[in-house]
Amino acid sequence: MIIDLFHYLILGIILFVLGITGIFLNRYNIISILISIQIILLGTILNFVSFSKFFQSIGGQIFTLFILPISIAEILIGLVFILLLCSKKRSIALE
Amino acid sequence: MMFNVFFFYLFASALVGSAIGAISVKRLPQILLFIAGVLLNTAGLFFLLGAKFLATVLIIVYLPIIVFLFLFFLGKLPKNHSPQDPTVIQKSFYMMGALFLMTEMIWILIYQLKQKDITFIQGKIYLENIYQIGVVLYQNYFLMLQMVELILLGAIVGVITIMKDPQKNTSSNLHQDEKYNSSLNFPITKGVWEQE
Repeated sequence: MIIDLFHYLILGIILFVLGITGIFLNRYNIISILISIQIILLGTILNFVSFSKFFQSIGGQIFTLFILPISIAEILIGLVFILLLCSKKRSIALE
Repeated sequence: MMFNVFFFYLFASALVGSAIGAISVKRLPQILLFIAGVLLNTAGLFFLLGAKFLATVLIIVYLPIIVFLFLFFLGKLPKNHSPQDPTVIQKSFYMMGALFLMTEMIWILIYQLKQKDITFIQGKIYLENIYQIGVVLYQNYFLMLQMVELILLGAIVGVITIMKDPQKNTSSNLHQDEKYNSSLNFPITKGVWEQE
């Protein structure tokens, strides 16, 4: 039994769908939405790295290095928006 | 060969389980514990795929950034949003999660030690993968690297601009009722004690 590209792609699809499901399940919880976006990005990163392994090219790992800072910047801005939302409405629940 | 198959299914099942847990729980510490599990299992899969530098970055840099960002920012919220003290069942749940994460890290370490091409003694750890990444990154993708750094700089400057002057925007209303003054709001020359 050999683990090939197909297994990793299925795993990436599962992660992606779980992230989107998390966004729709927790529509009123903004922290869960941020975490779900993280899970989606991890699914795409897994696809990049698995293609980089099985096609013998380092470019996938380079693009993963570009995705990680972008997601960190997104978390920063999202958390600042949470703080502003909390200071205006005194609650972080989304209506 | 069976070693790879076993570790792939171990990491994949734990990854999917942690992702399901992360999108189904409500409280913040449980969410952070599950997202730590997700990141650790992804790092284990990266070790299986040979991307050792990315796995190390994911464990050492990315996971603490996410966890501490959430804990730092949400610690600044008012008191009524912070959760109550955990009960015994929740404490045991946290302990079980932490034990699970610790065993996962030990599994990753065991897998690394079983690899033949990595020697911890000779000081050549991860050299090959890092060498490839560095050569390709600084020869072909240098402009994109600079642009990503510019985006990060813009994000940091924006966050500081929003958070800097609390009198202008409404974040000073945050602690109005609690008679709470952050020490960052004081002029430094006046000193903390003269405010009373």
